[in-house]
Amino acid sequence: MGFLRRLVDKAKIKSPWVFHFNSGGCNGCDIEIIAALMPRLDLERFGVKLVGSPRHADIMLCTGPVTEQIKPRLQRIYEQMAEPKYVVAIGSCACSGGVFRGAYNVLGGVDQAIPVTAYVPGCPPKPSAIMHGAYQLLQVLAEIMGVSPKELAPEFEEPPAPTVDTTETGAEVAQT
Amino acid sequence: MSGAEAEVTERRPAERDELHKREYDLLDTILQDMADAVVAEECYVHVQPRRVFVRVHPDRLREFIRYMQREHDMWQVSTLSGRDLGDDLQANYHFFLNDKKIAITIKVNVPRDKPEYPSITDLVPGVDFVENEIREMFGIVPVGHPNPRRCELPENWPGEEYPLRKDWADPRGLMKRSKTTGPRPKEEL
Repeated sequence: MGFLRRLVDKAKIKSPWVFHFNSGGCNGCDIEIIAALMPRLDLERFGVKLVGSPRHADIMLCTGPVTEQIKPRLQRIYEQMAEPKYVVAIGSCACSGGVFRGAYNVLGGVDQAIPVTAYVPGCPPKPSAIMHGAYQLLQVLAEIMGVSPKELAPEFEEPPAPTVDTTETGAEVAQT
Repeated sequence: MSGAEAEVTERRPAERDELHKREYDLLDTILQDMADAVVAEECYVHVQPRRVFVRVHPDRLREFIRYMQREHDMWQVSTLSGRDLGDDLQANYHFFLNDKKIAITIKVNVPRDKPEYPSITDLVPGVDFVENEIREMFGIVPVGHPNPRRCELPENWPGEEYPLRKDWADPRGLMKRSKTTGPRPKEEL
């Protein structure tokens, strides 16, 4: 049973399916999410896959300050997701309200409506920042589930530092 | 602050020079043809090129729009914006005249205690949505709108509150609420 449990946990870490929800933003962050999933940065190499339904997803990427109108919809969609479920707030608006802070019709952040696991600030965040946020979240999840981070993404391991003999001069180092 | 403060005004009329000839041609034609529909002292050519402002009496608005469509081929509507001027509320219709390459703004002032003017949605179908919006946000009512409905505010918003008016006092503390300082506790979600 322990082996099966471990296998399932590892599979969950290796294939986090994400669902994307816009709660009243300007589409800037949404475009950057798409850019992060595209081949240049390629979030899919971690097994991240964009799916069209909250029922299939493990992680919800949420952008925008939550407007009054969309709050019940967001909560209903969050309830539709299957456990274990996590939420990433992407963009300044989703983190704290952003430029809409102090407006009469927003709640000021996704964490006012549903619990949030990770925040990615920026207006909009660069695709590499979204990538970093997703990787941080995966590391946290790996810790929670007891999977070693090395299994998570072997290609992300730091390359061995180049050995340079400090006693020699710079010119000789360049020759070797 | 010391000394006489310069009067802050939006009105910056242009000189009658070569740069603004087309705009003055249009404005002179309008003032000549529709002299009784417009408020002449509020009509001017802005110093920025290709920009004309006209203020129209609310009861003559439909006639003025028909005249512009007939005589000046005004078919492209940009948007409708609202303003709170204190005693008056103002609806600004922004149109483009593509042939003359001029943007014209048609202002309609309505009194605050009876903010009503005739709707032009049947003449210009493009303003259907924004006329609903101005009724919600400013309480300026386009009378005779074919499809009045709530479009932007939440369903539980009180009917007599208009959030973009200057004197809206935020009775439920909504603006303070959105200045969040951290996640809401899980049991309150």
